[in-house]
Amino acid sequence: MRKIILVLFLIGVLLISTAFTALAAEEINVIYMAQAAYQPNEIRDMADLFEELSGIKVNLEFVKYDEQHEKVVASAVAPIPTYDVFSLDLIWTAEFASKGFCVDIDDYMSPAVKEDIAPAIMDAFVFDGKTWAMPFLANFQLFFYNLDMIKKAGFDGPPKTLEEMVEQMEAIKAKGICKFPWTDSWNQKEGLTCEYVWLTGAFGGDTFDKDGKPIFNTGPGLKALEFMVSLLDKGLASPKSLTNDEPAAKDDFIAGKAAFTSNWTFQYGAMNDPSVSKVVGAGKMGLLPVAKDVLGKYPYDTASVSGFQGAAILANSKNKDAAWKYVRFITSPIVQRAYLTEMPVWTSVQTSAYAKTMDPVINVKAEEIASVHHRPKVPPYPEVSSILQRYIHSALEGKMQPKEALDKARTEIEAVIGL
Amino acid sequence: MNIKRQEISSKQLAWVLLSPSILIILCVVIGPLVFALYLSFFKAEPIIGGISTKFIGISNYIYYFFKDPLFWSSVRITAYFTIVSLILELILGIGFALVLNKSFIGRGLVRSIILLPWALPTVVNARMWEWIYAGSSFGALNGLMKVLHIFPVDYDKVWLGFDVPLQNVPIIGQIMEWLGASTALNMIILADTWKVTPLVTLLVLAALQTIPEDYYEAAGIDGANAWKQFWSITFPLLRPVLLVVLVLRTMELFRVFDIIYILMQYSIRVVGVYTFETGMKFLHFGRGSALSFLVGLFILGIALIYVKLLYSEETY
Amino acid sequence: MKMRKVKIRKSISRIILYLLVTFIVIWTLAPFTWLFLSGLFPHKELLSDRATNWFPENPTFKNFQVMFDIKSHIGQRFMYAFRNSLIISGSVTIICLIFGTLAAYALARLAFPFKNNIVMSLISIRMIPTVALVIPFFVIIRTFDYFFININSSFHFYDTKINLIILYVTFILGFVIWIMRGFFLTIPHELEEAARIDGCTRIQALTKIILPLSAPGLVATGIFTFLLAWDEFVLALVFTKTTNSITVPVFITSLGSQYIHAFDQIAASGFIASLPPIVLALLFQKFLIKGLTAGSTKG
Repeated sequence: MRKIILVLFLIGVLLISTAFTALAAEEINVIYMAQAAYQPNEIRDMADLFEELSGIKVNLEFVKYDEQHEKVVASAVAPIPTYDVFSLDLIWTAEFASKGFCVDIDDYMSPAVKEDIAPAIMDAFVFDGKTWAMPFLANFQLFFYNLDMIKKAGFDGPPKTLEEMVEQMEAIKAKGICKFPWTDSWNQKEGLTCEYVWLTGAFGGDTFDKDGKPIFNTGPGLKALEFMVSLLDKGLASPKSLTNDEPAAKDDFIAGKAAFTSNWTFQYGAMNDPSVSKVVGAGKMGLLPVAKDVLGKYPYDTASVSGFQGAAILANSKNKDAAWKYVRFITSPIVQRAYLTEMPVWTSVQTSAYAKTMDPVINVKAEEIASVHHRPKVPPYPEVSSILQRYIHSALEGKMQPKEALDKARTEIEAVIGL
Repeated sequence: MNIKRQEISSKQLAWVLLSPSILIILCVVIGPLVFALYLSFFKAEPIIGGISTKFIGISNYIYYFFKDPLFWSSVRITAYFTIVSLILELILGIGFALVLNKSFIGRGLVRSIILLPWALPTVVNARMWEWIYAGSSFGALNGLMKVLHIFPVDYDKVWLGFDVPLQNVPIIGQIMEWLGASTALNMIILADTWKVTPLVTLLVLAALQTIPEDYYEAAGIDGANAWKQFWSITFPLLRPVLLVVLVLRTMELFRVFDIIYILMQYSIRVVGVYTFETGMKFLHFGRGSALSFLVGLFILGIALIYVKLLYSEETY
Repeated sequence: MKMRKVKIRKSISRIILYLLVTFIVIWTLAPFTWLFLSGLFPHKELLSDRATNWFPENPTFKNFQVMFDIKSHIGQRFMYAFRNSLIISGSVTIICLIFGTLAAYALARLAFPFKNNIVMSLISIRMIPTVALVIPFFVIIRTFDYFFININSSFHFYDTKINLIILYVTFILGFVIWIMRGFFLTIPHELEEAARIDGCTRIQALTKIILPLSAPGLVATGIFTFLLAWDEFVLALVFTKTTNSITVPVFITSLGSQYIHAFDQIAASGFIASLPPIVLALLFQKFLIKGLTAGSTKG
């Protein structure tokens, strides 16, 4: 028996020592964390090229969007920087900047760089007058519609206003073409806040004012929520929307189970991919409609929400210069030109003849991106968004009246911001 | 002589044998628990290079008891989850055990198979049910319902939805709503029960096998039917093992986190999820610690009550 | 006449029994079978209408193969996670068994003050929710890492296997002690006393008499520990970041993304990840049941 214990003990020592050696053997120069429309192998390709050119080894780590915030925070407060570079969702700009988690990159950027990126994009990463991340991915929501269904219902083309859209949906439902013409990502996650922000935009307003004060419980914000609730009440929006996240909403649409949806740019690729989509040809992408009242009032007759991601450098990085080189590389025009499936952030690339030949819908995208609304830029954003999601969701579930829900959300959010 | 020397050292030997375990537990559990208590009197938030702390007394506790709209609702949801799961697990577990205690062809094999859900990692279990519950035509449960003609062909139920069953029934509907007993929560209970039932079954089965056959024969002669036999013979003899199941499961259920976090993220706030959200997502370390401490204290309380019960049971 | 009635009644109850058994088998196996089947679906067919499509038209093992393909990003991560999980669960099992057995022996056999209090607190500690300790752990580990960096040591806790091993050991140890103590209590005192009269010391009695007799208990407890460590999620979620230390549960949670529901991959990797615990549980089933009952009923 003693022998057995000895053997067990030895195995234990062996296992633990492997645990230690594995730790010492891996050397890390730059770690990148991404969750974007770029696929991991594409990010890896970029990194390979960068390694070849710079001699800096790049280790990549990918986590789910939902967990990324926690992971970055954990890494930022750790003394050993697990990451040097991370992809920063624009909603974290205020929080990370105010806590000093990432470094401002104004000194790194040349004036030429700043000039070639549209203010609507750059602004997303500015807080306190400083820039905190290099725009990397210009994601935003677009309108997706099933033209076959619209035509079957007796209409010529996609709706220009929300009212028209409701009319078309009612016809589609009445004729039994589609049981629930609208699907969306309205589950209690960040996606719900995004949908709410663009809809508030579509009713001509913003959720927060310029000073970062919540104003969503009156006017456009209230109309937006009432609109969402009415879609559910009329049976136009699928009840499944309440549990959908973005990929689930996409799945509904490309399976031909919905006539309309709003989603991020990634859906365009999936929609036209015959290996997954049942609506190739019928599914089209266009500009998100706005309310009739706001038609013609703003430069663009559409509204969207920004989901930009930037590449940022963690403040505890020991390799800031190498990190910047990498950031500069992956966000450079030449790399973005190679991946036109994503909207380039550079004006010069967006307007280049090459981009126009490669991407037939780039004009639509350019117009939509110019009309984006940002989600509130407040430091305790995760909490603010969580409160919004909770109350909007309970209004959608029919547990509260929209006005009551938004009033309560505002009171709670004010308490959080005022803390 | 020899034995006597050892008798004296028995106390010391005990401490020698116990000390590694006690040391580890003291450093890694009790220490942090005390630290959580300390942190709970602060407003503590991580910033670069450290944590900013500000002493605020018992404000965090006051916040949870009187101001926070979510605390009490999360306690209610957790209680609902715990109690309903317990009832389901016990009914299914005892039922399965009674069946498996009968003799039939392939009994050994079935008894082995039944262990499978229990061995499945919680995370795999969660994602498996997430996929089965998919609220679309490609969801397996929806497919099954259609095959069995329970659902019409064009109807797809959103299994992880927030509608409350029996919502329209007066009183019961309101109670369910107050408890936060959404369809999603009930389906999660089912998924969790599926995984844990084997444990209950096996424990009960083992206890059943120790009941001598002649007890039943005697009862059979007295003319007691199966139902009566169960309540007068089986159940009393199962009591000790059921008590153990109750202890273990209540603790496990009350601190549930994994399956709900994976399936619903933060949208069903049981206390575990709520603590995690406060601490790790909103980064309120102080407030989160207060919540942790309350939850820990509560569970310790139940634990002690149960342990007492267990001991008194043993002395009969 | 009466005989026939009894016969009919008997055969009806047989039929009911077999129906019930069938139900139990289906209830147990169906979800897991579906998990395996889903892994065989090519991504496109995954979203087809389930009322008619229960089997993939073009079944593929690609989803399973990719998990072992060290060249693919996903395979690499999976293999690392799998290796990490094996190392962590294995180490935790061994450490817990060694320390746990010693402590359990003391609690089962030796007389000393505060014994009952210690038993009680051990059980209670097993009950403390891990979630409740995540925050203090997080802060403490960070403080330790700052200390290591200040003394220019390359050692750190965050994102390492050793960190998880320590944390897991503590949470599982109380449980191990509890079960092992239950086991030791089932072994008759007389055996040990006889050995001691023959001149054995306490430790000799433990290694020569008690341990061999409680081998089934050791196996059961070991498997239990392994399963608990393999299963753990919260701590791994918070304290692992890279392939250095991510465990299988963290890997499986991280599959899919904001844009893709990778249920084919989730199913495949989930199936593979369940194999070690399932195989262990089925192989050592007898021990497990014995261990469970002995450990838990002798509180």
